[in-house]
Amino acid sequence: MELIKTEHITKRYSEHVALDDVSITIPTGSIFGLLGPNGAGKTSLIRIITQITAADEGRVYFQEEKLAPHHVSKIGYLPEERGLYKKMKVGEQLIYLSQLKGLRKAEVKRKLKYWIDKFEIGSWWNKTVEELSKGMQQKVQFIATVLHEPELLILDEPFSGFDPINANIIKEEILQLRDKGATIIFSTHRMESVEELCDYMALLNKSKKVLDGKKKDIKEAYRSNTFIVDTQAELPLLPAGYQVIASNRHEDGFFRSRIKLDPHIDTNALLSLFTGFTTVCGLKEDIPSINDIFIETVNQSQVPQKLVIK
Amino acid sequence: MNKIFLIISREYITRVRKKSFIAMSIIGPLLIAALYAVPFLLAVYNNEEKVIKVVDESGLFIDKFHDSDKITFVFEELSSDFQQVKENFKGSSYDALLYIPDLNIEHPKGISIFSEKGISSLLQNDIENTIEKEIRDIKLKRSGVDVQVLQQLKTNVKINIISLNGGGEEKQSAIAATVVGAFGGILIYMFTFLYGAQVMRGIIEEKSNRIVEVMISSVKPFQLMMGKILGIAGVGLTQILIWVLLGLVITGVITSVVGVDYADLPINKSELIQTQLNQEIQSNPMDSEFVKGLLTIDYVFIVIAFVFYFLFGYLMYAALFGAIGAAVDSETDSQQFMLPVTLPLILSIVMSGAIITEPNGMIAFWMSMIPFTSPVVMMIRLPFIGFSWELLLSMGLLVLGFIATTWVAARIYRVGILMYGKKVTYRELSKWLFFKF
Repeated sequence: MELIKTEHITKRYSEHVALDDVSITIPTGSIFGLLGPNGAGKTSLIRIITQITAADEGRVYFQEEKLAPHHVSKIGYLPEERGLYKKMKVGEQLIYLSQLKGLRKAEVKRKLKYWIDKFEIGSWWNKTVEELSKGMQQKVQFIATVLHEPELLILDEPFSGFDPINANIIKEEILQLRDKGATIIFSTHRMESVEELCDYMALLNKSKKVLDGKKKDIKEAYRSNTFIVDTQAELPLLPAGYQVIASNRHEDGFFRSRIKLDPHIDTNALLSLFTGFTTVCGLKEDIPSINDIFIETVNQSQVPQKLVIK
Repeated sequence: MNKIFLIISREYITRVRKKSFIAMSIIGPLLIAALYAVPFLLAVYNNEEKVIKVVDESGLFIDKFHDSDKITFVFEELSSDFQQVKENFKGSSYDALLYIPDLNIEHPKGISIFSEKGISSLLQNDIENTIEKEIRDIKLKRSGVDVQVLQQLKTNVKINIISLNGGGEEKQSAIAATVVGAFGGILIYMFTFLYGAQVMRGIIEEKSNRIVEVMISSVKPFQLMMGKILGIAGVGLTQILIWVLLGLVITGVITSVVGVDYADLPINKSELIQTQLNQEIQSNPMDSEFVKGLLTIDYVFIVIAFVFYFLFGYLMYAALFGAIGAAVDSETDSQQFMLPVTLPLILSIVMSGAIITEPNGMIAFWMSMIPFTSPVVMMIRLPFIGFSWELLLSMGLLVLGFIATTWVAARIYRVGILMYGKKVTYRELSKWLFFKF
């Protein structure tokens, strides 16, 4: 079942088109990576889902209902540009923001206990936000986003501003929230965290969706039967079907080569070529990272447009 | 609607708790009390008697200067040379020396006052008037006018202004009406400015803090804007209420200490009226016309009208200030939009003099109809026109003006709060009005 479904979303501003016919499906309980270079339309799409703005064309469904104002209490949104009332006390601020999401004061206090222990923020309760360090403010903001236990959590660059230790705590929390049933839209430039966390992803470029689906399927589609082989001696000449993309002497003394195999050839056949000739120190498949896919797809989708302009 | 209430109460509570609010609440009435107490205390404690020596060579003014509480005139025959008198005066206990030479009453020249500390312009006026009057009388007598006729020439005229509004005939004093109306107008002007600017600052703060994006993922932009405007309106009303209460207490304390009897004065809405009333009584104890005038004004009517114009005038301007706040990134950028918004407000104060002199003129009429100037101008006119179709029309137009400006402001607001790093022009703003959301 999908939690969010957008159909043919188009959003125009006076000078440009921010989203052009974007349809995505976000399955319930997934972590959905929303990727794209700067200005691709990620924030515009998020703002439409959070009902900050509305689409010019197209429809959005939340749990198969048409997106409506009462859905805001089921959504938690952490914008990329963080912000809190600087002069307001941490405790009051958390209560206020949660009340606006429809929680009662007593509920807020009860739910806060968990987070106070988790992030060790009990002593901050009566401090104003401006007294806190930036990292502390980020924690407060994260709590404010998740406190009302939203069914949909939208996190725009959630790790920016956290040190590695705290980033890890946040990551654990995100995974736990997913396990408890929340669906998470995760917008970021940091591909390693997409690789690590996301189940599904969509790639936007120049206001269009250029790629989407299950992370596994996408990676599968980008596999090219290419392997990285480390050998003691320099590579011999290889027969047809074995295309050597690169071969260099590695700093540790061995040779590292990237070899693309024809579809019918498997790794055993590759290994047999080296037997008796040199020692194979390592062999692994060169699976493209999300980062590679990202760069490749963005570059590809830019080429035809450039041609059109000429 | 629960959400807008939450926003209102946050805006209200955070502001009312601020030190600056508490300070203003206490200092405000103290300042007003000081304004009233200083001249009073000066009058009471600085009651130094002045003795003026008069040397009258002409002999025309002997016994014509009348002693008052504070001034005593002592005549001295010119026994020796005037230079000698001057020398003697220097070491004497007299405060001033008035010298009148032998005068040609057609061209009185050479009248001088010698003094070491200088004299007040009030005293100078007083002396000049007395001399002028005497010379006039002498001239009249010389041209054959009878002394009795002369006395009959002096007539004291006091005009009773009868207002025919509200069914009955009521005596009114024009001065009292003017004071009450103008005071209401100034109060509206002051609070619209002060608290309208607070709305703007609050919105700029939310925008530059970037909290606004979190907020409007929970509430509608209109709720956020109106919540702020209404919350701050509450702060303004609270401030006035505190001032009135504190003012009454302070007035009460001063009254019991100084021992002036205020019992027969109306304890009314603003203690500044009281202050002015009191000053009036001090400076003019004989003439209670003003007090009577104050007593005859229909305060319930004025207060209802005041609250109406105060609220709607504030709401209208606050919406515009809010729109400015949303359109700019920082307070320094707000200047170019501030001027056209504040201009009508300033204009209505600048024109208040003209409106008081001619409360039923063209300018007064139109300025009290146009919603941007009507809150201040109508308050000034109100005591003169009373309850009438003009008032109802003006109120109706103000409500329409409020709805229209709020509509415009809300549209600029919802676009502006998400717009960063862009210098906004008027053309841009007008486009925002018709953005589809």
